[in-house]
Amino acid sequence: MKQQLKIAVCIKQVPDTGQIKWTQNNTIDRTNMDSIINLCDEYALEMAFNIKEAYKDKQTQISVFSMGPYKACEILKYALALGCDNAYLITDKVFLGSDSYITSKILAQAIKYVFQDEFDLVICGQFASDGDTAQTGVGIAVNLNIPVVTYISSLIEVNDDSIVVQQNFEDSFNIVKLPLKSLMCVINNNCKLRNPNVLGYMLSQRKDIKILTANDLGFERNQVGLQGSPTYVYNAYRYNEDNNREKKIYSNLSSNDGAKIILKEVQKLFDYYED
Amino acid sequence: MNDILIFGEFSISNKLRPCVFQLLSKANYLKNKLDDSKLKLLILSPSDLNFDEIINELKYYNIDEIIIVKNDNFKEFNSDYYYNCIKNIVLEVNPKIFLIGGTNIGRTIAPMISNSLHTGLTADCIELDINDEKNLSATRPTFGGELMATIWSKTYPQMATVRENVFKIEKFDENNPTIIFKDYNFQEYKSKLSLIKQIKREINNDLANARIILSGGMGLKNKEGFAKLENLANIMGAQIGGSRLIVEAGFASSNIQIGQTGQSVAADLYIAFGISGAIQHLCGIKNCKKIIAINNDPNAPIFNHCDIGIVDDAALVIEQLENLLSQKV
Ligand SMILES: Cc1cc2nc3c(=O)[nH]c(=O)nc-3n(C[C@H](O)[C@H](O)[C@H](O)COP(=O)(O)OP(=O)(O)OC[C@H]3O[C@@H](n4cnc5c(N)ncnc54)[C@H](O)[C@@H]3O)c2cc1C
Repeated sequence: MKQQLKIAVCIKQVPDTGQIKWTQNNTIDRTNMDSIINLCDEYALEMAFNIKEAYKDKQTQISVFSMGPYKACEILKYALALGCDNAYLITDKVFLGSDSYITSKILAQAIKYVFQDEFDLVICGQFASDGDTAQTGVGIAVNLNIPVVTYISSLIEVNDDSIVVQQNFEDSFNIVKLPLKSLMCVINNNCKLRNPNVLGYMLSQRKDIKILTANDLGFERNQVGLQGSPTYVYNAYRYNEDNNREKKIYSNLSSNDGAKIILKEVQKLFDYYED
Repeated sequence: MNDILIFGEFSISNKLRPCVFQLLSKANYLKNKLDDSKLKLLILSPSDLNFDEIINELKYYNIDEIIIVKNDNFKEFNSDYYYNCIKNIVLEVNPKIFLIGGTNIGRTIAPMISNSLHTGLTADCIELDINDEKNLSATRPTFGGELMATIWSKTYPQMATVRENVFKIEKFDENNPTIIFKDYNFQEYKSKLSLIKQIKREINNDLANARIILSGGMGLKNKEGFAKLENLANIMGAQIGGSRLIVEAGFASSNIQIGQTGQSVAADLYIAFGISGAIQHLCGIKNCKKIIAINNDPNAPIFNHCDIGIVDDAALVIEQLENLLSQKV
């Protein structure tokens, strides 16, 4: 039995969608918008810690990776404070504009660069709240040539060389066994997440965030970023699908009158159904 | 290579999922815009499944070719076996466009195929078309919910996923597709993943067919706020829905999420309480007949996309509705 377990967790910094304020012409007011760690990625970190705790006899090392601008150090620091052992920021101007196909490639390359072949698990959030392509984790697995299990909601048990998890699909819950050396995509299961404690913060102060660039990872400029990406945005436009709606707006009604208007519509329908 | 390939996903009860028929319907529109294009459907199946009924059902979608690959490893979903086989079939068929339903299985398989074939994939599209260059043009909302983005792909096959019920089913005159049965040989290959147990889940299909939906967003503030709306829906006999943020906040369960990455609905009456009206939400409700919005911000975008708007505190309106309804009975 192997005594060491090496886990890589990939996390992303995203704008806080909970804070969106709309201006009068329906654009987003981007001033004061905060960046936060992507929600599913918090569960990915939680999963890594749960696995570490479940493997009592193994010495587990958790390394966290994030691709993004320097600002993403914020979430890497947070991960270190939670108790991760190493943190890597993958950052380079030439990475800008990469689609999820290229992002997977870069993250997989970073994992290979750091571990060569010596890792046991990669854990990702199932999707990012700002793009939600849900492609990046799976893409990393393909690039690393390891099995992948998606939509994981919880850890069931750990064995010497395998892990058992619950996977949530639309019409079934699956209990799946995956080998060590595989990739897990984790969803938000509303479990309680741990918070960094003071000791965690203090210990994390001593840990450095290592920087990985395109050069380190052996990428040429034209292989990554917009140039390297197979997809591109041809155009973007405003959504006017519903311009044929009535848009009768009441702004100074009592709540009681508002409720009556709604009930009238409901009643109309019921009358219609009864006919 | 102008062909369009669709992935024919089965539900747990060995029926083709609705998204398959929806994609086939849309593919007909795409095919008509391409020269010399064939519409093909790929189905993976366990060896003993009878196909008579399934093939009968498939006669109304102008399909040119149905490829049925049989192997007992396809009895249940295993990403290794599915990936391995689909990838090889795609290489063989060499389609221009490959479309997959945006289900959990589809969203697992699609990126495996696109990454291994080094091609682009656009997820959760809400519209598909063929552009002047005779390529796939895939549209999805951009982050933030202000704009729609049309995405093109430089590589082939051009891949996209579309969630269930985004497209409507459209039937055509009966035809006789060519049926190709194939046995797939995994040779020595053995997946290291195994399914230990499968627990059937009660599917909440009520939303897709609901006539009246009360839907809650972050304007309901907390779990209690959302519970009050649920209670009102019970009294009214309506279904309950919600925005993604209220689901993410843990105030509502994820199977009631409506929108681009949740369910698409087509109710007669959709009433949105405290929902801002981001595009990702709006594109899930565009097929609703009537939309009423209650929001205390007169600038909320949802007021541009509703039939009746009420600028007010959602909680107060819910309370009044409950009062009025209790007077009635
Ligand atoms: C890739 C991607 C996919 C997405 N998929 C979906 C999806 O499928 N479904 C979805 O819904 N969203 C989706 N989103 C998120 C979407 O962009 C919005 O963030 C989300 O819909 C907002 O939810 P909300 O309206 O509940 O919250 P908010 O945007 O925070 O809006 C809350 C609203 O409540 C109003 N309010 C506040 N207090 C009150 C009160 N007391 N009374 C009345 N009103 C009040 C506010 O004025 C505001 O308009 C997606 C986003 C991305 C990037």
